[in-house]
Amino acid sequence: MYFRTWQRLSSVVLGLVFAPAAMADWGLNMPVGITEVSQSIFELHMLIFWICVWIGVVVFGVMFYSIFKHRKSKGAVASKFHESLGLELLWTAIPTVILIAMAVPATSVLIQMYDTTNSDVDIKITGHQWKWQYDYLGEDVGFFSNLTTTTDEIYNRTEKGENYLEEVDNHVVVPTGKKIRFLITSNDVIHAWWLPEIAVKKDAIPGYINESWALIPEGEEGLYRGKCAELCGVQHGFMPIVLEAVTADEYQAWLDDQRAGKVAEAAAALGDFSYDELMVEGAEVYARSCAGCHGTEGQGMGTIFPALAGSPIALNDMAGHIDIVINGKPGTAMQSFTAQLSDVQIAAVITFERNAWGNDTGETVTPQMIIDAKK
Amino acid sequence: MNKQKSTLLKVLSFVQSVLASLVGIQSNKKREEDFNEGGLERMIYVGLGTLVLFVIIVVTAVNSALPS
Repeated sequence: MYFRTWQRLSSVVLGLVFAPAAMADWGLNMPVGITEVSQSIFELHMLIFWICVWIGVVVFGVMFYSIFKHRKSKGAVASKFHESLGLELLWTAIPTVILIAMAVPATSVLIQMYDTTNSDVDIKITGHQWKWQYDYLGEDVGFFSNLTTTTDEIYNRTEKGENYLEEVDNHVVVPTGKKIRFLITSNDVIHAWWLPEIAVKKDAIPGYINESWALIPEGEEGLYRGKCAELCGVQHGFMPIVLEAVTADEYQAWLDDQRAGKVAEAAAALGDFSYDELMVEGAEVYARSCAGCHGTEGQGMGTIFPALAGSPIALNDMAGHIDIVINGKPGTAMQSFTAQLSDVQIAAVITFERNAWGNDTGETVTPQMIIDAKK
Repeated sequence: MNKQKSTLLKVLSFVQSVLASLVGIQSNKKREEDFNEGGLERMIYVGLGTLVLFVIIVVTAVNSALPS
């Protein structure tokens, strides 16, 4: 009986002794990260953690020793006194000194974290239900970043991929060796832009702009993944962040590509598209931007997200259909897609919605019709 | 002279009581003295003065910690 008790106690003690190794395996601790700030935060976290551990060891050590040493069975009698000025001063002074000792390094790290001055690259990040929008200020580059995990993976109709719910169509590309300032806001509800590897976690609040920054050292090029950290609605888990750190030269080339792509896209809108081309493009756009709410088969979701299959607007009112995609519908979850999709993409997705799932109208919506509707 | 000294001691005693209230520690004997001797107004004045001093110390500490 006693042997078993001691065996259990030993297991607990051994578990506590080897806890750091065990935590590393389970990934319980926060990541060290790749930036100087993330490393400072990690060091501060560990410093405070060990201070708390030692306070716990001392306080509980004294308490358990006293309970054991002065137990009733040994004839101990509790002392009865009302006040002890010296003791009270001591137990007030010690925590005060510890708190001040903790505040000094904490303040230093906070000042480091909040110093958003002298940035080389400024990126405005806007949270939407449920995607992120990135605008590179002064560079004429901006885009939306949508989840690319398929609904088949989400609903277990196929095997989940390696980066399940952590993959997007457009990465937020940043240069290494440059100070990047993030200006974070929201278009609808409160989101939070969280990328653990660079220790940035900021609320995105409608009407406010929160600032943060990161300087990814040269040599740390690669992909870093994060997610929305504020419960923001039914698809909160479907708006990940993928940051791609590249060299300064690669970043410049990427900016040039983005600008060239924008010009090419505008020119393409004036070209001719066949019904089949629009249907193929429309199916892709629908899967990425619409299926989350309206369902993969246009069946809708409850009373909030109406079905498009058999919908009067998708079968009859073409002008109304174009208008709702371009301008959204106030008072509902239907947002404007003007900034998110190109004219070709809007034309394609409307054509798709008017001809898929039995909506066989046979109608084609051209990019020129979208350009005209926007005027 | 003695009267002046006595007044100074009283003020110091008030200051000590106010500082003790800041940290929440006071001996029973001293607390009874404070209540018996009265001087509520003076206690409030010293308390307000100490509060202003505390705010000045905090503002100075924050300004000195922040980079210029």
